[in-house]
Amino acid sequence: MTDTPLLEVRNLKVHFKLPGSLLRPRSGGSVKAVDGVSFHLKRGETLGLVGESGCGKSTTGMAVLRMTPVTDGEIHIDGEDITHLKGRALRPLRRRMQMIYQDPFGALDPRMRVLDIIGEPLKVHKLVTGRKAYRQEVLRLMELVGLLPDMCERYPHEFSGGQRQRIGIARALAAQPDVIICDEPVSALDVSIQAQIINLLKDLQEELGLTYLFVAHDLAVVRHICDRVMVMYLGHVVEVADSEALYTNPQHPYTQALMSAIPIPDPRAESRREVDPSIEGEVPSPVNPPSGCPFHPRCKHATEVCSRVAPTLRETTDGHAVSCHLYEPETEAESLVRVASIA
Amino acid sequence: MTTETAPAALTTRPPTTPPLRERLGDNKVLGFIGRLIVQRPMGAFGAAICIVLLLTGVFADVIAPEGYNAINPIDRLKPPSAEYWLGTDQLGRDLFTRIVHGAQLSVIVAFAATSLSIVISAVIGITSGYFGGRFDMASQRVVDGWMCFPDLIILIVAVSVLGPGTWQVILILGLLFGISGSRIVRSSVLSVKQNIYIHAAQSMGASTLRILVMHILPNVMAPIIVLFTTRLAAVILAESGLSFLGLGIPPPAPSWGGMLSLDGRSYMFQAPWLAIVPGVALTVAVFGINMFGDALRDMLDPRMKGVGSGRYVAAVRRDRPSSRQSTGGTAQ
Amino acid sequence: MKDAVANQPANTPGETMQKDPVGGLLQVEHLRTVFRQGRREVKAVDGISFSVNPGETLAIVGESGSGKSMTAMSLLRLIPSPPGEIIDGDVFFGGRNLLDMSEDELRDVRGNEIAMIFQEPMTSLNPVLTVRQQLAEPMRVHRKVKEEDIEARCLDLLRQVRIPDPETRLDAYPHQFSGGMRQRVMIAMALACEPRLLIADEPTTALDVTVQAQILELLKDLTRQHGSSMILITHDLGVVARYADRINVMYAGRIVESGTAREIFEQPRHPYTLGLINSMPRLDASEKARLLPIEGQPPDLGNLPTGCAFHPRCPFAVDQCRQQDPPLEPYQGHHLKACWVNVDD
Ligand SMILES: Nc1ncnc2c1ncn2[C@@H]1O[C@H](COP(=O)(O)OP(=O)(O)OP(=O)(O)O)[C@@H](O)[C@H]1O
Ligand SMILES: Nc1ncnc2c1ncn2[C@@H]1O[C@H](COP(=O)(O)OP(=O)(O)OP(=O)(O)O)[C@@H](O)[C@H]1O
Ligand code: SF4
Ligand SMILES: [Mg+2]
Ligand SMILES: [Mg+2]
Repeated sequence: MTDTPLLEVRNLKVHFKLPGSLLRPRSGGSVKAVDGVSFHLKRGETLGLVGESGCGKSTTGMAVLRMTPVTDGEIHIDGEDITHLKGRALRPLRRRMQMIYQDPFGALDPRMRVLDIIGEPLKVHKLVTGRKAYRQEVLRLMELVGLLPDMCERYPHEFSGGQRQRIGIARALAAQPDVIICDEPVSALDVSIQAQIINLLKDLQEELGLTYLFVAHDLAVVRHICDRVMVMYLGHVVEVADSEALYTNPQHPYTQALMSAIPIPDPRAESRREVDPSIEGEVPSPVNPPSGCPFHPRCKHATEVCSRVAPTLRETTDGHAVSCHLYEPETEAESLVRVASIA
Repeated sequence: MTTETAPAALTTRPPTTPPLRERLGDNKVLGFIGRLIVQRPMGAFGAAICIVLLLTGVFADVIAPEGYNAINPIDRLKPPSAEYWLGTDQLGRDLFTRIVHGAQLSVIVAFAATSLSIVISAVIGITSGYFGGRFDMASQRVVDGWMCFPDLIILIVAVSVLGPGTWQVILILGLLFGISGSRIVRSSVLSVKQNIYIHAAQSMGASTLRILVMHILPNVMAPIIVLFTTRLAAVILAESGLSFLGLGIPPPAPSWGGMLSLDGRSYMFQAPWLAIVPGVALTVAVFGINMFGDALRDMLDPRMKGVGSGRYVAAVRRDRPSSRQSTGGTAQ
Repeated sequence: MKDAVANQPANTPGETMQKDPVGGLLQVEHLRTVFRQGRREVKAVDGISFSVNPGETLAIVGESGSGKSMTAMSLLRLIPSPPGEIIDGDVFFGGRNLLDMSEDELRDVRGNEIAMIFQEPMTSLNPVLTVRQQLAEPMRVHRKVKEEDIEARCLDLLRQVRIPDPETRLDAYPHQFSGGMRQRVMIAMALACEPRLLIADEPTTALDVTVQAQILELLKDLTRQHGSSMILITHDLGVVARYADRINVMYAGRIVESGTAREIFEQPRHPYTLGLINSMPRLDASEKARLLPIEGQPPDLGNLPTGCAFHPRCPFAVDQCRQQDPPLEPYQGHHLKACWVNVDD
């Protein structure tokens, strides 16, 4: 295995222009959906992307897929800069990256048979020749994701949510991609089905050596599948760490708040648990993000610096990076005091 | 401790996938006809009228073998009788023969003009709806401009330029209805375009042509079919109207509209059947096509399709509907 | 808890579910609601009985389509009809049967003594009315509050649901609120008449986790303050552990297990409940453990398997399960389960 990561994203920015008024078309301002995100993804690993609704998770995924215009920054695959590829040059990329969607009902064309849905990437990229080889390949994919071969002539509306998600996964696998971007693949499913799909994704990864960028809003789900986790808030990365490190030692106040908000299915533990009352309010608008640290209006540790200066993402321990003034080396003495007060 | 209560059996069981539902008979066409009769009897009735019309048109020469222009001066303006089922006109031509052959003419004109109009609507609607942006803007302004002119003026101008005749009528009606129908196709393309499966096809690298043909077109088929049936009736009426004004297919061709206007009006009191018969034929045909079209529209609604899909509709967890726009409006 | 099996009276068919000795605030008996689709009949609620005691929070948990919302809607006769119909059962609320009431009498109960918070906060508020108009409505209709007192009362309600700066918010329209704030307004409306029973149907499903925690804490505090009972409907077992006193687990239109929160989480006695608990991704798991899903697919309510509806997915199923429908019977005290097999630790 080489040291160049499979996917590398540097200082990615995606800003959407808001429509202005009729008289002043340029007055709209812009939504800073993703505002300076950097990360890398090694072959065979799963990186989780978590955060609340609207923090820019899907937009990050779309930008990596080159499905949304990139305002600034660079995206590299295997060392190759793909940020500015256009038209035909994008085609090979479309095979190397595939996506699994959140909504198992909208993601499949209702007028197509499962056979044609799963096989579409094969046709588009001319990966097999002949009807027989085509059918065989689709049946193999169906078996891989736990669908019965005799379902291949059916239409999507004849399947339940979990089965449709399996169809979507089979379609994503068809092109033998390097990276699969999973945009909340289980959040529309019932708990019992969620677990089936999570296990399936894990098994497939082991079997086929897949690389996932796993977008989710549920930290508990992410824990079961990701090697590393990146926490986003309002278009910024606030913390990145190995999964275990993040769960045992969350450092950013937002990560801590997010964790304390997740219910634990155990009445005894719950009766002892304090729901952190200090994280009041909701995510501010990305059109008009707060100055300084984006989290400061909701943060109980916020100081005057936080509202003025944006903190940078820096490593605190090996592989664990956090973007918070509490961990800035300049204020080390201060931060020690504060960290002590958190603990 | 609660996690430990799982018996090993819970994991070792192979996935059981129960049969989803009995399929409603393998033959889709038969199933569709069955549902049409049970759920929309009026629609089935309309469909029967359409079929009769179609068959009459196709087999006109078999049903009424004498020529529609066979003149029989002795039997002029005869009322309906055993010999002349629907009577004769002022030249002694058998009205039944003329109505039957008129059906042929109507069927040809209606299907040709409607097909042309549908192709035009689909091409304009799909490209303009899918590509959007400036192209959409431009093409829609052209459509707007076209639709600003009253149909009648366009017709009169076109006929005076092209002259009367069957193919001219087909061309003009096809263009007229095609351009106005593109609006309907375009609006359904706009909604189909929003679907994630379109995004999926784009992100997998499918070519634009493939997306248009394999994904967009099949999903706007329902409105297109409905457009087809409603336009069919409208074209028959329009063709009669044109003939009535003398702008349509010139005599002696047995166009229903022409028969109604030329002979029917002149001999309204002496021989009322000359007006009544083509009038009734028109009314019945238009009624039948409209009824069938209405039923088709309802039956093609996916919610009416296949009993048993209901559960899966309820099974989507509308977990996080795009509350994203709303987060924008929050003021702390 | 190991020898609990000895004194359990289950497996004696014929014994019906025992009534609550307290004589609850709400008593539902053999409620049955169906939807007709052509010749098919979907048994959305299939003969369920339960009760809610004063001041208690009862949770109804189950997968999508298991009939949770339809149970709640049936209580207030809000089932869209046709295609829906309540075909059997009684709903006693404070001694009166809601299913026998006239529409007028029922209107007096709805929104007044029993209030409901719906699944979708986006569509449950009227977009063209201000928050003030919507909040004032139930007070005018049910409580005949004097006009001059209404404003003060509205502000008080908004303060209770912790909407910052209520004076300026009162005349705002719903679209100017975020999802979480709209749900707070819904709660304020529900509380306007100090109902004795609050039915919250997935009040936080559309919201972010941090907002979910805020809303649920708020509901807990407010019901406690007012001493009202609550039926909390959710698909998320995790939510229930903290906020429910008792839990009904539903599967395919039936209650399959019922007990206190501790009983359900610590000694689940129905294979489905057990499966649900095991398949939950947990934040407090000791490490990156593999999840144990329930295999198979949820059933089609219009075409239920014979016997126990869960048997095709159940790892414990025996022959009896495939033939006979297990009744909901006491396992131990008020802990009820509907299963032929004894699932032990
Ligand atoms: N095409 C677009 N035009 C304008 N704004 C957009 C567009 N797409 C996304 N946004 C905005 O960008 C922000 C980030 O959106 P994104 O979909 O990435 O969020 P997310 O983290 O995936 O949220 P969710 O959990 O709801 O899916 C949101 O505020 C959203 O309103
Ligand atoms: N209008 C309707 N017509 C036919 N069937 C219906 C209708 N409404 C609900 N149902 C059926 O009733 C059953 C129960 O639905 P209900 O809404 O109570 O489920 P739920 O448990 O609340 O699910 P969710 O978690 O998705 O809200 C479903 O299987 C559904 O198919
Ligand atoms: S009755 Fe049988 S099938 Fe049903 S849950 Fe119990 S053991 Fe499983
Ligand atoms: Mg998203
Ligand atoms: Mg519901």
